[in-house]
Amino acid sequence: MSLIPKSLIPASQFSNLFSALFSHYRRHPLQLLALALMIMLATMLWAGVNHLTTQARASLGQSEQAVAARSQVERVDGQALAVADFVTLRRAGLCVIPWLEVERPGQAGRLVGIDPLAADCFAQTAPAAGNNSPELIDSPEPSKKSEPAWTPTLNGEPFIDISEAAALAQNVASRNVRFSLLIVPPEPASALLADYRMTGFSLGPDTGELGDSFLLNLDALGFLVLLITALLLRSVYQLGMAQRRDSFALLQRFGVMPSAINRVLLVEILLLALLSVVPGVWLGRLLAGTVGGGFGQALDSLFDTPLYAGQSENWLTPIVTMMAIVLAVCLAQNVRALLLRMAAVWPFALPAKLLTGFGFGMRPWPWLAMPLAAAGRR
Amino acid sequence: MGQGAGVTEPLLKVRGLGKHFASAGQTVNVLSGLELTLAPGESLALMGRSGSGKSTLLNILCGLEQPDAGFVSIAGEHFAADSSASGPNQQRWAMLRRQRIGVVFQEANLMPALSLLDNVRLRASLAGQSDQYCGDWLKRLGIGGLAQRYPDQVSGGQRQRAALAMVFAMRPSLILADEPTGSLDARTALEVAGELFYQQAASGCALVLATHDSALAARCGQRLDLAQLGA
Ligand SMILES: Nc1ncnc2c1ncn2[C@@H]1O[C@H](COP(=O)(O)OP(=O)(O)O)[C@@H](O)[C@H]1O
Ligand SMILES: [Mg+2]
Repeated sequence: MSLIPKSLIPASQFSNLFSALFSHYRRHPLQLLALALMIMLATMLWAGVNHLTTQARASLGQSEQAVAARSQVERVDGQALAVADFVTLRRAGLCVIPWLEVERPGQAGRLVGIDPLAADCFAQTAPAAGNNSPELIDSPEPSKKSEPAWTPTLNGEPFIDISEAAALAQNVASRNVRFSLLIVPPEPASALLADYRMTGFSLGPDTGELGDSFLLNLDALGFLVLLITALLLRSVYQLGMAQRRDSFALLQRFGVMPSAINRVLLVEILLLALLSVVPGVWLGRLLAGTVGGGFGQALDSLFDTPLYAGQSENWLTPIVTMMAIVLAVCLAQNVRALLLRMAAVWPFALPAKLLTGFGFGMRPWPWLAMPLAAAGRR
Repeated sequence: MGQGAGVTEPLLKVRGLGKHFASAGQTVNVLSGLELTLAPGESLALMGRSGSGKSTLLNILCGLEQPDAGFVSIAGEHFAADSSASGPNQQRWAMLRRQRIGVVFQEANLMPALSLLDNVRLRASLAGQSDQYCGDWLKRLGIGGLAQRYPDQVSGGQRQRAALAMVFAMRPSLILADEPTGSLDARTALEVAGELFYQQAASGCALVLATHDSALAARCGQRLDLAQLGA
């Protein structure tokens, strides 16, 4: 399929027309370089952030699953659990373990008191292996299940006997004491007594909410990076177009149809985008890998679990996405109108206003483009 | 295509041509009932003070502007005013400009980012002509030594010589020149105009020259004063 219909311009003249139009960049190589670098930078930052977000999302999903694998018992009537509940449930033949969490103000960390004897049935029915996510509680090998001394660790800190924890709890404000009953979900679930229900059990802060807000921030960062670089790119591209407008008029006088000129410009920006986006994605992965190390450690200590899962291999999505964005940004005539519409939606109001100059009585494009224009003009 | 028809038919025929502009609430009739006939090899001077419609007529004759009334026939292609702006007609006009009609304006005739030689090559290749004589055309117009220069690296007179080289390299049937020496000093203008008339005679193409210089107009076979026509 020929890109240029014969009626517009013979196919043999496509390369002539292309090189005639491209001559602008041959005479202003810095402008071309600025365009390529900007596409590359936008791609690198966006692909990098996007890569991290994808990884973090996958990892958080995994760890949430792991946490959700633990269950606890709650009273249906909403009352706090007491020792009597433990007795009732144990008598019903259910595997429950008392879990007394005591926060000690002024001293780092919390203590968890458990009943080693009650923990025995827990160890025997430890969550099935095959879950590749980190275990919250270390459990013994199945072969050692007969040994009563089960000493799980949390943060490397040993659990203490529940009686010790209860003694400590006497000296601590009640809001710093949490009593829970962990349960091995019975088969069938209906075996649970009618007065109780099961919910997920998680340690410490709710990783779900924290993780969500963290991901939202990453998404917002990616969006802002993309918005700013895209607008810079557009201003440089539009500057070049303004400088070439006389050439377009001249070519039209030479008998080249405007549609043929547009097609050549489309091919030009497609080539430029492809040549800049591919290395940009590569650099983005490099960035995500470099940042990912320290970033992963930060995540780990934030959530007590290894979260950064490493690199996956998806090239097509970022390349296609960035190509589409570059085309849209450079060729769409109404990006400013789009931004003004976005300014009506409050989260985008300030950046959109800043970038369009709307409400500030100025046009920002020339200012944004000026240093690059100076470079491109030689 | 159409070459044979040129022998019996005139190269350029204009009948009842009208054009008006609406500006500041009132319409200005720039051209009305204009008639022209030009055979291959002939030349016509369009005269008249500034604002009399010379540029408007030349733009209509190459399809860059559309008339309101009348009929234009060029090199076997016929255009009526009512359908002149249609897509197929725009394509026929583009084809004529590419291959048959060379246009020279007062300035800005060259692609700024191409060397003089590359400008001539581009024009020749768009017209379907071999680009092997492009250097010769620059030599014939006296700027052979400037082939590799960019338009902003040569003088105004040299730029107009290059523009003429471009037009002649396409081997046109008709040249439309809109005050091609208007921005040059008197002596350079005389030299460039001399080249234009010399090469036009040598190549046998027709010429429509818009000028308010009566000395230049006197060198054309026909003269048409648009100011008198409109008054
Ligand atoms: N696009 C336009 N809109 C309104 N008026 C125009 C336009 N183009 C030309 N005119 C008017 O048409 C008249 C003829 O212009 P032009 O053909 O450029 O004259 P000339 O080339 O002889 O100096 C002028 O009065 C000019 O103001
Ligand atoms: Mg004029």
